[in-house]
Amino acid sequence: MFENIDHPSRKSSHRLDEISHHFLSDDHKKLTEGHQVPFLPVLMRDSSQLEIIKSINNKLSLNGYCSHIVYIQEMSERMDLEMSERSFPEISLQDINWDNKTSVYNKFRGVINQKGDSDVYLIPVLDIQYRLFDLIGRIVILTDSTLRGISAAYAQIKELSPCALKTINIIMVSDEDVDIALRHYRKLADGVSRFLGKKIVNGGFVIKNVNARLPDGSDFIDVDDVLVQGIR
Amino acid sequence: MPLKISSVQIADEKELRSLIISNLPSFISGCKILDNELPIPGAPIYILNELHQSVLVVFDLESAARALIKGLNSLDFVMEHGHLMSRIQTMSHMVSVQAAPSLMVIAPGPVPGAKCLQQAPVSILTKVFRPLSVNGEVSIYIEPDTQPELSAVQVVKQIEQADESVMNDDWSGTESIHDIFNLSDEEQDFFTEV
Repeated sequence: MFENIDHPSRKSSHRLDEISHHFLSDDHKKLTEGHQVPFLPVLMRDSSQLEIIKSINNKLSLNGYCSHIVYIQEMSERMDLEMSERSFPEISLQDINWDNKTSVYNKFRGVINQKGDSDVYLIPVLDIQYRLFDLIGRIVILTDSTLRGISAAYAQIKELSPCALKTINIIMVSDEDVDIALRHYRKLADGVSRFLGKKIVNGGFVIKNVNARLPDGSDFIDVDDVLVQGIR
Repeated sequence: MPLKISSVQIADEKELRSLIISNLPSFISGCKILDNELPIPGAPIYILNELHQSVLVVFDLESAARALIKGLNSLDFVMEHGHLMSRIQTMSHMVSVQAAPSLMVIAPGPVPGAKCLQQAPVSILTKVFRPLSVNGEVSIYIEPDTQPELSAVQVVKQIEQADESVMNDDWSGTESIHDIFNLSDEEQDFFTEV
């Protein structure tokens, strides 16, 4: 089953080093150096946040970036997505032989070949996928702007400690306004720095407040270019 | 063989969920279980009744008031995210698609405000469960919620006694936020205020 993906290796960074030499040719470059990998897993609280990822995808496109959503097959099934809503090709984590570097490479290279080059491929994920996060080296966490939301995000970051993550981006999702979301973000950043000795990076804000809506009725979304700049 | 029936303690919510699921067909004839645990607030069991109408079944092991609040949270979520339910209904090939599912609250005792809820625009049924051991096998008996009339003050008091975390934005019910996230005391203190 999907949930049974191996527990995190405590030597994640070592393993990344081990497999990286397989990707050092130009063709492989995007899959090896963490900051240049165009795949960006977005960790959701639940499948209802998929709409937010779609909005972020649209916003990145409006900002002039080429952005796609790539679904993980097992996640699509858990999210009850209809076939018409699914965007193919999907990645099946079950099919990946993580110990076979060629297989891993072919899987992701295949997606790029079929989708076409893009600045970023957003991958919605419902729970922590150690192997995937290790491989890509960065994630985005959609974080509710509440005490519970930042506690949950903190707990996730703590749980991610064994991963070889270079960057953790936080996108705050608020029903109120940017100021409150920013205060929650700073609190989370303080906590992560104080207790875990890590840094997080603000990836932007999604404000789901009627009063903050844009003239076309859409939610206010301020997605930081850092989401894309970090991987170009 | 003589029938030996005695009251029994249910270990946790997981066991209660399992017992309710296995007993649902015995008190809702012709029901079809679509999802054992919908990933929405209140974590309801999602079923179709014999009339092919969707019903959210929520419960709580310890508190009737908390069971009710979980149910109301589930309904709130469904009303706000109707498109998700439509997807599930479509996936399940439902014959009739309702604007909102009805709610069944299964609680360890009388649910506060049950009479008032009967008049609500959304159908809300309340039931009481009794954990039983029948010849050594743990089971539950689900019966109608027939309760003495409560004064408004009693109702308010019961609801106030419900776990505060559920009253706010807790989804799982019995544990506090920090228990769920397994934070240390120091971390808990840090995240109690902005």
